Amino acid sequence: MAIPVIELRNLTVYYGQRRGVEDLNLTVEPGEVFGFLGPNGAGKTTTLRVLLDIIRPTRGQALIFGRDCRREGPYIRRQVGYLPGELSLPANLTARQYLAMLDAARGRVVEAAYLARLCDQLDLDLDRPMRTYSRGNKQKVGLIAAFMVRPQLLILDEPTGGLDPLVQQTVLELVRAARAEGRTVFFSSHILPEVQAVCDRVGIIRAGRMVTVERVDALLQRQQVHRLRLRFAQPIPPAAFALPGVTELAHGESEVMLEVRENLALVLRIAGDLGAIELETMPLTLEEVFLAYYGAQGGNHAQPVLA
Amino acid sequence: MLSLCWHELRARRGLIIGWGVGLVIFFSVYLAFYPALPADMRNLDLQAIELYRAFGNLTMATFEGYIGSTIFYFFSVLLAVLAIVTGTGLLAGEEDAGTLELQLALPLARWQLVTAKVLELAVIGLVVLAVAGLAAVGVFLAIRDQLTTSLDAGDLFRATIAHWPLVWLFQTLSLWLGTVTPSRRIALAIATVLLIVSFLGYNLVGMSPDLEWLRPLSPFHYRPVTPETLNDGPALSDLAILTVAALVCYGLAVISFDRRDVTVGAWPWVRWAGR
Repeated sequence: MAIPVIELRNLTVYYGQRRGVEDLNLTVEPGEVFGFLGPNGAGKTTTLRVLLDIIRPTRGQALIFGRDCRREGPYIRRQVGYLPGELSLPANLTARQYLAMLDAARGRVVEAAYLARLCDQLDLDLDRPMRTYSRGNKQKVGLIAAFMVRPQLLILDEPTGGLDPLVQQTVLELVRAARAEGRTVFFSSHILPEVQAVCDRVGIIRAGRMVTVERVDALLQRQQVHRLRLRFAQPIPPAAFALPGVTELAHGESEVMLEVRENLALVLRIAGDLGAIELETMPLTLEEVFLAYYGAQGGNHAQPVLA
Repeated sequence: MLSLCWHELRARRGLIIGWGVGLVIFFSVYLAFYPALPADMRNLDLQAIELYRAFGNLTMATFEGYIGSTIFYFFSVLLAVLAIVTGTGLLAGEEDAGTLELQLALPLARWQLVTAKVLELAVIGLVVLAVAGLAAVGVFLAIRDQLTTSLDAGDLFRATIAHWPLVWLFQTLSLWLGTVTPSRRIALAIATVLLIVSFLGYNLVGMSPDLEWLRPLSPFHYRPVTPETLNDGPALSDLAILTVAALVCYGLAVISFDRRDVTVGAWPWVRWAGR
């Protein structure tokens, strides 16, 4: 059995009395794209910073490639590309100078052709001082810094923040390409459609604790909710589907949209009896699943972006 | 590690040039001013004036005395300010600015990162002093004919460069404070207080024979600014004491940065409270 690329064992981080994360357990397998979901303040960035040994655990352990992030940080980070969530760049350098500095500190491992391709894909001019860059262009520099060394593990904190939709798609393509090359991507986001688009599995974190870790498709299927749109040949009575566990989301003269948690068989029988001519099932999106996790808990959590 | 140091020095060339130019102007003005001093002002017994005594052994009677007690007197304060600005600017300043996070993601151990910064500080200090020393030599040669002194240009350059251990001490002290305190602002404030206390304290305790024993506690005690050290070169033991103190601060910075939760911005005891 392959050694997990990332392994968290009861990882706990406290800032004095303030909670960072608590008893996180997680494994990320080689070649996986793992989405780490949660609202602001849930503990995503704290977890990522522990993996980079920027913050030290209060209890528990974080391992990458089976090695302790605290004790073997330099060895691990040789194979890790990192994009911080709050990216700041030295203003008086050009992007080329800055990337050269990072590359030199890594022992000059960047292939010029690959760097040029990344710049081309992300449409970035490297020869301007970074103080003249927009937020999006700074984000592109951070992305190039993370990808340019072709690391075995990419840790990306909100990778598409500040980017326009076209470049967001390019970033997702880069993530897919990394997976195709067998590399592992661990990224935090609260832009759920992009997580759904590229991730194999997701972990949902709430108030510092892991709520669930699932395959994206399994997570969607596991939700015992079916959303149906039914069309009928003739008008239907207003309360035709007033059943326990069934919510009418919309009701027209000869059309109804239902959210069914119970009595699915009964709903289908009634629909047949009423002369349904069309049945459309509407899959839940990851964001609806995510909201269901948070909605059940309430609290003052930031809403995920419904892009 | 060395390549990071080199690249960062290039990135800070503006700071180095700025301080270099500032010190060139400082030396040019103060040195060029000496031949124009009226004779009665040169012969003024400044030590008879209580206020002047509080600011050290000021004298203008000889060129060596003027250099040691006036020019290098203010020069050492300027250098300490430079050292504090640059010392807190690295690590603490970079943490505040958010640029440290990507450096920590590099395959370097924390001690290597601290070492790169300490080397960078050492080079900044040395380059600025070399520029200032060359300026001093230039002005000295221009006014040489108007002076009565046994000093030569080499003595002046050597005395300027000999301030490097003092600069490096304040730099490493400030760097260490930056790894302990929550922010650069606090490190800057503490380092400034230490500068004021050590500088004014050094001069004030000199006014009382009973407190004279406190003077060696101040780094300013070891400046190479007496007429003897200007002529014969700095006492190596003085430079060694400052250098060892700087190395101790470097060691403390390594230890405290290795234990720091970077980006958290907390005092160490707040972090320990959660352990």
